Amino acid sequence: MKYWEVTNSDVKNKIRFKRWHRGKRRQVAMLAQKRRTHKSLNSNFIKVLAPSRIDLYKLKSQGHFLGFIDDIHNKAHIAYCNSKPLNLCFRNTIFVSAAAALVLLARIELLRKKYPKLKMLCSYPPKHKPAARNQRSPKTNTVDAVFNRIGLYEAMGLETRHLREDHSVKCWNVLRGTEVRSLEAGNLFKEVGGQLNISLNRLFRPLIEAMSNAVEHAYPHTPEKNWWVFTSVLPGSSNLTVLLFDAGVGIPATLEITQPPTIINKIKNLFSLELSSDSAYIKAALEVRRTRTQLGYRGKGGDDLKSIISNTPNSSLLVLSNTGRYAYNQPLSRPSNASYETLTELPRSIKGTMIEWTVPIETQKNEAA
Amino acid sequence: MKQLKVIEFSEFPGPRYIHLGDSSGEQFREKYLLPKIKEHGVIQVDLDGAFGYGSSFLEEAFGGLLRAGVEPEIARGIAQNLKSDDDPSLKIEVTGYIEDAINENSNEQ
Repeated sequence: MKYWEVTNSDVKNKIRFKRWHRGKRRQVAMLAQKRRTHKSLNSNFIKVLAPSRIDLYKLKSQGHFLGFIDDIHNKAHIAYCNSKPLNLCFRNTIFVSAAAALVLLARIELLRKKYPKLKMLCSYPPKHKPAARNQRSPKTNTVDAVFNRIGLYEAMGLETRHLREDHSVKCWNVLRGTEVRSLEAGNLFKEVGGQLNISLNRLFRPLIEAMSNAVEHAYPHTPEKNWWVFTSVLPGSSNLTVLLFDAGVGIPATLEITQPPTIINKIKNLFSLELSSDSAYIKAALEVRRTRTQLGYRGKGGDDLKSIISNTPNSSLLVLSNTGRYAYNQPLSRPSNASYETLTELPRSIKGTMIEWTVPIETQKNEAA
Repeated sequence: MKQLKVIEFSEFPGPRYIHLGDSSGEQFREKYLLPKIKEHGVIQVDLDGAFGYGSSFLEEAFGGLLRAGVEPEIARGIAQNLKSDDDPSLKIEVTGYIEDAINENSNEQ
């Protein structure tokens, strides 16, 4: 054979070998997956492994966390049908953020209502060294403390753990209900305000409006209208975060039911908005009040959600509904500057609506003084 | 002029309708505001002292007066005599709801 014929057949053989090897690797992976499923069905419990970051803020983490939530639902059903406990494994989890913690807590509580006889187990989060320059800093378990504080273990049917009080989670508070509970919300704000030495009156209006929307519109087909409220201050942070979550049908499913076509069309024209994504629906819902002022008495709540942010420098509003994500930020300098609005889509649906207000604590102190 | 303090009804005014939760605008209007108006006509409503007000509460309590059959002049009188030293913008807001409700009523007629 000539040199080029030998070289050409070498290359062809290499290509053939690579293809065969790729196919073999795929086969092995599929077999391994089958064995894992078979093993989990044969084991004493059904396991769901939590991601290392339980987070809804960063793009990378959103998909992993929402996939984890879907996994919990699917495997809960399998566990229930096979009369096996469901083990939530947090052994790799070293970070949890407020929004994701709230969604996780809500989903677990709803799961317990749906499958009251389902037993849940837990592999607790590990202690880990914080990402600090000082390697002598002790290991912490903030994730464990947060879960314990917000009642996640209790929601799973486990005993509340007697952990040493972690100062970083003292300001995490939870409220839940199925109707608008203005008295409890007001008392919660008074308590948190007392801890932080600030007044939270201006957050009361948007919270009550959001709670009313959740109870009135989010659950058109179910009698129980569940919502959850969080307040949190992260250690070293100068911001207070207040969140409300409902596991309802989402803003995209209700906007065209609650508002007449005249309003929807007016919003589309005023803001050059095509209602082709969930985030566009969120923006439309928040603009109803401005649009509706001359057309009737309903729909005042949307502007309420944004009003505190518009008037508070360095604050923000985040609304997640199904796959929609709407962020509204008020820059630090000069509140009269244009605020920044971003509309994006989540990789998966959160199957509900989450509203989060973040306000700087110092500003609230100055206003209260 | 007779005075009605909202804080005597609730420190934490709630949602729009009674079926949504406690301390609603509908409850305030039906149980407190309308009886006082029927007895005394134009009264002074004092909004001070409450922790805060949702827009739905205010609209249902005051805009709802027109839907409940109160005369526009009386509703306007209540708006003019509203007391809200803690948050003066509430007076403007309530006046807006009452005017909107008057316009809606006259459009229907």
